[in-house]
Amino acid sequence: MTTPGALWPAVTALLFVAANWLYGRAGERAYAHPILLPSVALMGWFSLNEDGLMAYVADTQFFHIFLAAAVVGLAVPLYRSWGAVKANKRAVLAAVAGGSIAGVMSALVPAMLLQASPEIIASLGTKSITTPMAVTVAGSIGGVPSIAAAVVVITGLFAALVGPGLLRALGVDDDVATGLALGTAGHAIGTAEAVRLSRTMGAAAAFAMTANGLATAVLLPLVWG
Amino acid sequence: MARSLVGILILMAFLYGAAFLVRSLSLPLPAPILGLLLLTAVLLARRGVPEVIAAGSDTLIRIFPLLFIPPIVALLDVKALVLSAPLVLLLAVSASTLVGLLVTAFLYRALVRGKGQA
Repeated sequence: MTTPGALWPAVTALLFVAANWLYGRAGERAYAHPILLPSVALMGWFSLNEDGLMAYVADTQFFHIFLAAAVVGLAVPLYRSWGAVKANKRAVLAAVAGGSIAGVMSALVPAMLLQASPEIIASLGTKSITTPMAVTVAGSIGGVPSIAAAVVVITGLFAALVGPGLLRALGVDDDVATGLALGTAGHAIGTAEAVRLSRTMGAAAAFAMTANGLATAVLLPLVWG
Repeated sequence: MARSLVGILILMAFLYGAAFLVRSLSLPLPAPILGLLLLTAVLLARRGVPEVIAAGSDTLIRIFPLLFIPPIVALLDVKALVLSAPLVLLLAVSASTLVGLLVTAFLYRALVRGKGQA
């Protein structure tokens, strides 16, 4: 069955608008997050109609350029709240470095203990950096790019859905702290969530995402060798 | 509306400029991250955000979650790979993401408080 090229982008956008409305009505609970419901609905549909997935991926390919442009656009919240990040430069850098290392190690150690294959282990090393980076870096340390990409997306989604509520429950009421955590652990998906929640949180997340991504991309291949 | 569109086009120009640099210098960076760095440098140099760029950025950031839906749906395509090591991947993703979140947030808080008391 062929579908007109604009159908899937339109369906995706409509599902998002509907989910976003529901999210507001549900008091912004994580289970009603506007990334989650449309994704679950579309994945359900394409599990039943597997032949349609290729067309969906092809027809929504142009979303990538907007996604990439949105990442560039994170420069604006980053610039606007630069002061909040700069005021505690050392604490910010140490927190991002510490969180990044702790996150990677706590993924690798259980994987090694469970005797996962070297390809899986290498594909986990890049879990907290943004997809295009993860795929390149995972490839260079012997990982499987598609597993690395899947791990990155699931990690980001998990951080965005669980992070803000968890940190609030544990008494973290500082937007910079929450933003740094979301950007470090959840790359662009976590940052997208932070930007929705507050300007300062978004800026801290954009900074953490960039710093973590740069450091991981440069250091991981060196450490791995 | 028109302003947002112009802003989005400017962001895309930064993206393509960054992509060109990444390719010609074979930098170990993805183009969007380099584009983010370049635009931040321009904003810092200008000491202000031009209104069109702010409008474009705000529009894209508002639909950010929408833009992640297709790559998430595309995960179905690697379902077999993900299911080949479900326990490891589940542990790695959930436990280590929690560790990453908590260490970052609490380390920052501890360091900022420590500084305040000193």
